[in-house]
Amino acid sequence: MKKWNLIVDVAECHNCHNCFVTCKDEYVDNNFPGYSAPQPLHGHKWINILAKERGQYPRVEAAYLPTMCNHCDNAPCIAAGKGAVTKRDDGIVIIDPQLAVGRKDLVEACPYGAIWWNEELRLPQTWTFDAHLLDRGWKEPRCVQSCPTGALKSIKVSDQEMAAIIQAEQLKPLAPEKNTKPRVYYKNLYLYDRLFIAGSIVAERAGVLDCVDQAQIELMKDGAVKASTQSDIFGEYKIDALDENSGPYELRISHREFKTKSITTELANESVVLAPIYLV
Amino acid sequence: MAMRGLVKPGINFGNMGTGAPLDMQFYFPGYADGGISGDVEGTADAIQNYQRLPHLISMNTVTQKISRLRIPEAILDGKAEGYLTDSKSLEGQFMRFSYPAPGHSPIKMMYKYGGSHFGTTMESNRLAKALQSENIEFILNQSIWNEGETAFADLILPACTNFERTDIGEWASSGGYGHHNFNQLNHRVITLQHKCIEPLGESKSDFQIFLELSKRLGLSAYFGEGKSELLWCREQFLSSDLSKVISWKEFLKKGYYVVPAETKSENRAPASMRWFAEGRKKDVPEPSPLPCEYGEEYLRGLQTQSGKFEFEPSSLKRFDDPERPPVNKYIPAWEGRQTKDLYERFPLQLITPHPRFSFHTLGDGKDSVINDIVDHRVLIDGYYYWTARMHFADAAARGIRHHDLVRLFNDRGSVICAVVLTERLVPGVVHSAESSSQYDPIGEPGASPDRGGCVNLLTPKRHMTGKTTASAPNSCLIEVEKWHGESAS
Repeated sequence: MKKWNLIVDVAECHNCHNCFVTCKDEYVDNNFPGYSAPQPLHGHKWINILAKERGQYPRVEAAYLPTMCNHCDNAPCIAAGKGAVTKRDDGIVIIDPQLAVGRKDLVEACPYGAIWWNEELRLPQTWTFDAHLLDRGWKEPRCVQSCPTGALKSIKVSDQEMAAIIQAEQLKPLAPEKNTKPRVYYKNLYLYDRLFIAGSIVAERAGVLDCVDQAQIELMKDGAVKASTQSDIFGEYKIDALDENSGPYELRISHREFKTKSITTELANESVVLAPIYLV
Repeated sequence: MAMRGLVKPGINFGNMGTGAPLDMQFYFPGYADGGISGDVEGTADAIQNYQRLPHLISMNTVTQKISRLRIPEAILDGKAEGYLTDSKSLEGQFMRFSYPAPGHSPIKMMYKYGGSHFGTTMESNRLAKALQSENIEFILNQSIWNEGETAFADLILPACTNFERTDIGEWASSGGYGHHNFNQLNHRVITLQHKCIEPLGESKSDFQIFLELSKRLGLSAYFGEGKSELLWCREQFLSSDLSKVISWKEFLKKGYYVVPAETKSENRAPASMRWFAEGRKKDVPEPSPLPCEYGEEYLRGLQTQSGKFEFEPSSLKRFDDPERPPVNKYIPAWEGRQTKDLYERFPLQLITPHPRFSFHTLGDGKDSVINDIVDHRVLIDGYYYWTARMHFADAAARGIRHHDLVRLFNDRGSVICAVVLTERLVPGVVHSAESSSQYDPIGEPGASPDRGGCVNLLTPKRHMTGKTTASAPNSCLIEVEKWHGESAS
């Protein structure tokens, strides 16, 4: 049985909000019986783009994380729904717009905050993967169709095929520890939820303070090399995808023209931009 | 770039946004190519649709003009000066004009179309004062949305949206204004816009409003020529190459036409300016420069006075503007860190680029869904506030926290915004986009803080140089403080 999955590439999302706007366009004022009741004009973000800045001026990066209903295979809302929330054969989770009236508890049931309460209709609501369109022959939901960078991709494959794709593309769900088995997967999620250590390498060459490229930078953890990189033409380096609160690190910088240098730093809950490192 | 051989392969400005293999030969009129208005001077009608579409021509005989940035002075002081933007010739930018023009009447009435001016006019408190002045007897606003500016009108003519009227057009085609602008897209798409619903309330389409007015002036035969909007769409269709590839009935039913990409090499548009690099006659299909504008012989050389690439423009050597010397050089900003007295009182620099989530004032406010985009506006106590970004360090020094309401101010005015704290700005700089469509002063218009987000209340009215009418809003100093005043309506 083929089922729907959504793949979000965090590296490609530029915060344009086309997905958000098309979701509003599709659902505000529009009733799709059996699928969804109208979304309110304001307040609901069935597709919600979260933002995160990493680093400090001037080495700053911004990452954007489109979030939505994860259409979990082990969905807490289905368990709590007692029939008001169902999973279709194609993997899509639907909150029945008639059976779920008054069920504010379903908003609390979702560990991802992806269910929104419609005060006027007394109804919990979420993004239906545009199931009403897919059932009419659409090949992909509107958020995917309107994404200009390819950050959103929907695929309908068997769970075995999906497992192979997850492995090959190193995809991750949000908060796997909640064990809800989401059908929305993220690529390059480290840009949002992990830390980096960055800085630049300089040295005096012929009386001029210059950027040093091709310096070898080794990141040491507990005496072992955890990661390595080279400085670029601007003398800049970055080692990414490090864990929060992972404690002390040592950076070893070597270059054929200069003496090897060692720097220590520590990662708490923010990325670290080190002061320029002078080689002699 | 000129010394390397301008526009030889690989030596260009790298316009990466364009270049899809579009058919440039296929003619469909852009929005300023003339036709329905019959205006032969203010549009490209004379070279485009005049020959293709049977229509009466019209002409605006009034030559008295005021630069957009000086409308407040013209009304309040009765005097204003400016420099033309007449793109017919290179020298068209150097001609000074003044208001009032000799023997002309002063302004008595303003016919305003829409409500964009508070968001897009520098030092716009001037405008609030001008629009309330006794010097102007009557203001009419033809408007879809009841924006802040509409409230200054004596009479409002409600216009309907494009969903409530018929129209025809090509995406991104501003023909007559910008040539071949559709080449920023991957495909040329021409659409017939069927109306979705009848105009709501008392609103009418712009065409219908102008037709009703022209009836009362006894001019409807000249304006409408007895045709409906749909018939005018058909006239545009017939005037274009579209009528050669699809029937009117089929186009009405289908609603759109995608012009196939050029496939024959002889139809391929030549690279822009390549003719110049190779010393050939100009071979690109664009109307400018006009024939008499060539410095050397027709179709050879550039539009400069010498016809050559001028590192030191001969026209600017003849035109005496100390702030615009023939060779570019750095001129310290008139308002910045080095203007000590001002900087002591207003130590933050405000930059006001275009907004990201709305197109100028289009799409902003109006209760649209982009109000819910948190980088665009932030909902605080039931009101959607325009955002202003500042660095954490600047905010901390002022006791300001993320999404606090703040007052941006200088001697020109005050704007209340929701603050967004970021590392993505250099400390000392505040970023807030221009083009808020809402002007919502909390007290007397022109003399009280605006909570609609028109940050152009703060920007200087000064022209970029003494002898242009270009605006220069980004040399602007402000201070920011936490706003303790009323926050909700």
